[in-house]
Amino acid sequence: MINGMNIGIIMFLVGLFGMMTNKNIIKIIMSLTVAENGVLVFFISLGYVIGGQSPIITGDVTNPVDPLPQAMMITMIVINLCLTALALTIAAWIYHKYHTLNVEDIIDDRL
Amino acid sequence: MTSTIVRTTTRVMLPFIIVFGIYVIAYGHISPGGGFQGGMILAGAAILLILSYGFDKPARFMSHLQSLESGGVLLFIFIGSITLLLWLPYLADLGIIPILNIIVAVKVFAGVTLIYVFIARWELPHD
Amino acid sequence: MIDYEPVLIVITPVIAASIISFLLPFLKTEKLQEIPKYIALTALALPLFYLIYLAPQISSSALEYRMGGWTAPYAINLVIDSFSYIFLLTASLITTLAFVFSMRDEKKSKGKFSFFFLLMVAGIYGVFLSGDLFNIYVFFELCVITSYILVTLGDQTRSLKAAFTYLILGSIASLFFLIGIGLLYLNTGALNIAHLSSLVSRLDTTVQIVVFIFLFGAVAVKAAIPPFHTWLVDAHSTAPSSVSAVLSGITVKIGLYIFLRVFSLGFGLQGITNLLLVLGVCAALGGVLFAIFEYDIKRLLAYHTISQMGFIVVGLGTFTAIGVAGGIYHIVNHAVFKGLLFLCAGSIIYRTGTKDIRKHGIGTTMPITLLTYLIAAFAISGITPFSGSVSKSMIEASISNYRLVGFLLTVTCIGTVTTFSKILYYSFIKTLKKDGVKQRFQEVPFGMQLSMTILAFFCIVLGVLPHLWLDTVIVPATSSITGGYSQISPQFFEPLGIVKEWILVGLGILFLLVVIKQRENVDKIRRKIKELHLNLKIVLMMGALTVIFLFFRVLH
Repeated sequence: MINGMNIGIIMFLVGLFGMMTNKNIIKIIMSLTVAENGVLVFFISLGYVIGGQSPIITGDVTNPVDPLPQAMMITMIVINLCLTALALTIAAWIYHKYHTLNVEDIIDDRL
Repeated sequence: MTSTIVRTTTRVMLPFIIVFGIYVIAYGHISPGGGFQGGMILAGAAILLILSYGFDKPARFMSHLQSLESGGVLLFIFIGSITLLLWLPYLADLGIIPILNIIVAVKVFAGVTLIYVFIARWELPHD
Repeated sequence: MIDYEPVLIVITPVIAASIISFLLPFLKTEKLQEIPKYIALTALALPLFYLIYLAPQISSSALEYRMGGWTAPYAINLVIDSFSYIFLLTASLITTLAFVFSMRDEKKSKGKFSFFFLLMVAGIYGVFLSGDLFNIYVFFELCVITSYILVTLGDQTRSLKAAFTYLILGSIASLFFLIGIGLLYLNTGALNIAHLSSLVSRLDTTVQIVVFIFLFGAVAVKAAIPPFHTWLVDAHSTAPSSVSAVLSGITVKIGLYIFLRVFSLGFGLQGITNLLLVLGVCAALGGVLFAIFEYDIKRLLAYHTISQMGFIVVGLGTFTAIGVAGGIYHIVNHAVFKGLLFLCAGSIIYRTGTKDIRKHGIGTTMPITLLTYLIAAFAISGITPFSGSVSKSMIEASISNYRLVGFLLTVTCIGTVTTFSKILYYSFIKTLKKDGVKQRFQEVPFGMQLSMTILAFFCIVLGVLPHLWLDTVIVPATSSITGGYSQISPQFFEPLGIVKEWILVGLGILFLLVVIKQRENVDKIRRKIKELHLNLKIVLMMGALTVIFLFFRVLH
């Protein structure tokens, strides 16, 4: 019941719920990070083989876990870093311009 | 953030963080780690330095950081294309991965420190 | 000798972008800051010419390139086959012309705009070229992240909030896409698209439903299908004009490209056609309805993009040969004429300085803009010699079994004519008098005129010679999706169709007169349409996905 995939999906759903209910921009970004990490955990535990060893070729490795999701996730960590950095920059810019961090209070002048 | 305790702790911790970062980069092709992870650790060390010692001194290095980052990309593509010269497919297995690790680490270090510097600049009083 | 062609197409913008960023600290004077624009122009034009040169090779076989020399199916490969060729050609044309347009409009951004534009173009090429699901995700993220940055570089009063909403919703879409890829990998063990297409149909139905839901959620957010469309209007209307043209023309279509690639994998589910028809009709009607109430020219065009995407989804959703061919033809047409419309809007805003169409009043003092706008408006309404009529007649031929859908699409055509005549009336026919003196506006600079004229030329060419395009590019594209070379014989230039179109135009102009007479009421309704907050937008998306999931569970 408690294996990595379920924990990953639960983390993703927690992050999604956080994005739905929070009003502060920084908290929305943090919920996005939690959701992304949930997907990470889900992916890494996709390749788990029961009783397997880490897939590094030194010494005797007879039963490696699947390294492909791990390689995909290294790429994903880099992409998430870019996304989080961009989101935080936009958040800092919004604070600089509107002097509030509440999503509902940012009033733009519509046409 | 620039009290004496923070400064002393930084002075003590910084060599260990830097050595660990270089270790992660150098052993990247055998054990877990590699260019990106080691570069992030080094960037963590640089950010710690900026946080605890204030912002005036690192400001001079910013244009150098920008050139470092984009030079890193060009260098990566260039070295990767060396395999093209030998009529092999791009990024074929020639044993150049450790060099690519070091280039990537330099680039990531420059990039992440730049991100921090740019975001932190808004909080400072303008002078 | 390994064929390098796909790599060259992707890597040219990346190298140019890194050269620009390397030169950035060294460009001190004003004169030197023009250099990045010319580097970017070269880097954008080279893949275009290269793709045109490659045309005869594509129709015979697919070009494939494997990274690192590993064998298939373990290799990460870049493929140009007949399906992705048409997308690549359209993308390179629109991005080059949009960049030519923006060369004069850049407000002192010192090469940053060129840098991000080049990276976005590299991402777009990469999505269309990759033959591997995770590779599509990586390039897709590159394209989308740079488009978030480009949206913030526009109209500074509203673009930040729009970019933030776009960022959050786009990230949710990417996460859904990733979970879909993970589930596919878990159940089949393969990521290569050519390899997966034989494995998917053997999966369990429940697994297929879940994977479909996740992938469809991601695709629907990017393709702006209601109720997932809420980010599009703000993001496209506050971006700079050339970026809006590329976003509306190409980035929105990437969702549909991924949809076709993934659903050609052979999901054996039953309700897909009905679902897509319902959503397509909602998109078409909803987009046009909101567009009638708007007075901001770019928001109007952005709502209209949602409407046209509804047409394309209806065409693609039938999964028949003529429907898919009509859908792909409409994708190309829409990229061309929506790009042209956004560039026209950009040139109007450049000269008058305001986005409100009631304050434009240009008259005939900008002749090239007026002429190209007329060509684009005729094309989008489906008047016969222009390109829109070809694809619309193909789509309407494919849904001839579904009477209600056909009727609602006809109503949408009337609404389309109304919205474009509205812009025509307010911006071009009514002339503005300031202190009793008629305003005269100058024409836009030559670069902008050049891009608009070339796009208008393509609008006409795509409409007048439909069989040329069909036989060379569209039909091979369709046959790689629906599998099998069925005979597509649509009838164009038939007199009954022409009469029907002009009746629709007449009805549209009548409706426009009603809208003009009631303009205060229209304004009141527009002010009452409140904007949803970010949280409610996400709730709406998740609610819709749950409903679709229950719909599929009931059917199976």
